[in-house]
Amino acid sequence: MDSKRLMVGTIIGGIAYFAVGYLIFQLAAADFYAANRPSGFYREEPILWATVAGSLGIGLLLTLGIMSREGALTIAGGLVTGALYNFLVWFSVDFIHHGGQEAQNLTLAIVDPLLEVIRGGIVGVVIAAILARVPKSAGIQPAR
Amino acid sequence: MDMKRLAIGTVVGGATLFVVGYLIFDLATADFYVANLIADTGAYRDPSLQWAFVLGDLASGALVTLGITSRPGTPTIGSGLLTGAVIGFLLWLHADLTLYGLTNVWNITTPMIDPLFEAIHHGTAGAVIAAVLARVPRAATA
Repeated sequence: MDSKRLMVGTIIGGIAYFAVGYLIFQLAAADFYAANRPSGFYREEPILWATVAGSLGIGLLLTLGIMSREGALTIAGGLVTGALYNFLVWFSVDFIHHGGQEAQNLTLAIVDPLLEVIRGGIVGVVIAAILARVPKSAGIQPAR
Repeated sequence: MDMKRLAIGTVVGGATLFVVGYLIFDLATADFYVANLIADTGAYRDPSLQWAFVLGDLASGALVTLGITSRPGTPTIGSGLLTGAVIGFLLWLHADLTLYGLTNVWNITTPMIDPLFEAIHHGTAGAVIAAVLARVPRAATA
């Protein structure tokens, strides 16, 4: 595993994930989420460090997914991998939380993973575009 | 992408995650999760919705299967365990920290400990998926 590329992808992906999440969930779809969140379970002010740390975690997961694809690294490959991985992550998390907690209603569990497709796709494109510019580190060279 | 192997891995992984999840989260560590709720939010359903857990576990099973099948070579139990553990840890580290940041359901202990339990949970599923996929022949490519 190329640690330098992994680190670059994680940091860039984490920042992009946080920024795109702000645009989608805090600005574009804020009213939808406010309407579908049962009262009493959500903080007045989000804890910023936790959402940033969480974004780095998914940045690492998406980077691992993109780097492990067969063949050359492409923007389209990053788009598909990011969208698919992030959809599956949030489909799983949303439905498991809907099953276990009153804080998540069914509408939110259905719509949220679809919005996460957009976020994952954009972040996947960003990670793939950046990694394409980061040279691979030299591996062990075969003896001549 | 070999859809037959993906479908088999998803179903096997989803079933394993559901069973192992019940053993870990409903039996072995249930008291931990209740003890680390923020009091008086009444956040947990009683009873929980099992159909929603099944759907969530199938999605996780698909994710772990994608991770395993994207690795070169024939999957082994060791590589499946490692891939599943990494995916489960990162998936739930991300989700737990995000939900901790947004909701007042848990205290900070839960997002610190839960991803470790999820690494065991998904690692077990990854090992089972790899053991099954090693016996499923790859589809011939054109």
